[in-house]
This record gives sequence, C-alpha cells and structure tokens, in this order.
Amino acid sequence: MKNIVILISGRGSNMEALIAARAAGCLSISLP
Amino acid sequence: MRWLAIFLVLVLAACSTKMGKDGRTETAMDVKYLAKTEIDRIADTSRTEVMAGLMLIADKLYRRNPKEWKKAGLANRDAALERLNLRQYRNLPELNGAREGQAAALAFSEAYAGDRVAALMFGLLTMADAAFEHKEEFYILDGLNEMKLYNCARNMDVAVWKLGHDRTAAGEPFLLSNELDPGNRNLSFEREFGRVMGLLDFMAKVVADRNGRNLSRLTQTVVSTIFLPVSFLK
Repeated sequence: MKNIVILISGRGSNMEALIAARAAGCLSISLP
Repeated sequence: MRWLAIFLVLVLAACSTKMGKDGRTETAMDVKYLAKTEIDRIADTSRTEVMAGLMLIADKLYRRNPKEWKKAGLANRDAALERLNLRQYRNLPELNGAREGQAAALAFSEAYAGDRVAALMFGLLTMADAAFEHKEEFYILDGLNEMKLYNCARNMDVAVWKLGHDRTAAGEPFLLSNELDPGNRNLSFEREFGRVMGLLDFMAKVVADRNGRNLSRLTQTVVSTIFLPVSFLK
C-alpha cells in the first residue's frame, strides 16, 4: 500500500476519484 | 427556395473527403456525418489511433516476452492479441474481474502468476475505453471528460516508468521492453507510448476547450507510481 498526499486544485475531481477507487477496492493507497 | 438551401446544407454536411495513398481525393456521402461535428470526427480518429497504438505495443511486448502468452495456454501470439481485441465483451479469467489501473498494476506484482502482457495491456486498453466513454464513434450529443483523457495519458507515462524501473525480487524486469544496450538499442516502446500520450493529451485539450475548462497538471507530480483512476472520475 502506498501513502499518497493530494494537493487539491481545480474542482477536486481527481481527489474524489482516488477516494472512490480506494473505497471500491480498485486502488491500494493510503491517504494520511 | 428555402427548402433547397436547407437540402444543400444537409447534403454538403454529410460529405467527407479523404485522400488515398496515391494522393487522389475521394468524396463520399454518408448520412452519419449529419450528426457529427468536426470535434466528433477528431475524437473518432484519436480513439482509433490510440487503440491501434496500444494494440501495436501489445504485439511488440508479446514478441519480446513470448513466455507470457504461453502462460494463458494459448496457441500463439495472435490468439493472445485477439483476447485483447474482445475485451469489451469478455474479461480475462486470470484477472479476476480487474480492469483499468487495477489490471495494469497486476503486471508488476510478484504475486501475479498469469500473462503479464495481457494484464498490462488489458488494463491500459480498458482505461482508454473508459476515457472515450466506451464509445467507438462520436456524435453531436456525446460528451467527453477532459480529465479522464488526461489521467489516461498520465497512466501511459506510469506504465512506461514501471516497465523501465519495476523489478522482481531477483532484480529482473517484469517485462522486457526498451533495450538500452548501445549495441542493440531499441526505444520503440517509448516512442509508441509517447505517440499515444500525445494523442490523449491533444484530445484532452480539445475537449477542455469545448467544455470551457482548464486542465490541472498538479496531480502528475504528486502521484507518479500508481495508475490514476479514469472510470471513477465524474
């Protein structure tokens, strides 16, 4: 599992997608 | 008179002119062009070129890594490529339902014992399908999301990076691709991935312009070793 830090810019759509992908078990990441 | 003018506009809009290999132009009329804008035609061509580029990379990877298609019990390389061509109708059993980034990441996992070329390319192809909203042709009412196209392009970058850097516990690359030996230099994978990235980035900019949005480049520097989500973007 990788720790990642997200710098939010724009509409935050990528942050939402990363969180949704993690919740669906499609992405093994940790958001500290 | 007004009806004649409308008729002429419609007929001209339905015309397309193509230049053949011999340099001659050929004008054809197809009703489907009535429902297409110029951007739709650009999207059609971009999608076709992206998919052809990815299939070419798959072919090249199988040529360099023939043991991979044998793992799936297939008769030859063509059968392995055909499985990728049929991705929209069939999942690959060894991937347990994984698609897009999740499938591509399996190619670089020690725990995965299946066909690594299939995992990587099935992942990238299904990701590109999602970036083009699972459509093969585009019409006036079809919308594309610039961030999906942009993330897809960045994921090609991630794939190139992982092909060059990720290693097994024994220190071997998971898949052979570019060759840096000066005596037998081969950077053709890098070149083809670059072409696909360029097409996706170009399309992302065209779509962003049409949607009146700007693309954010920040995520690229933050996330460089994971495949960014495409389908999960809204």
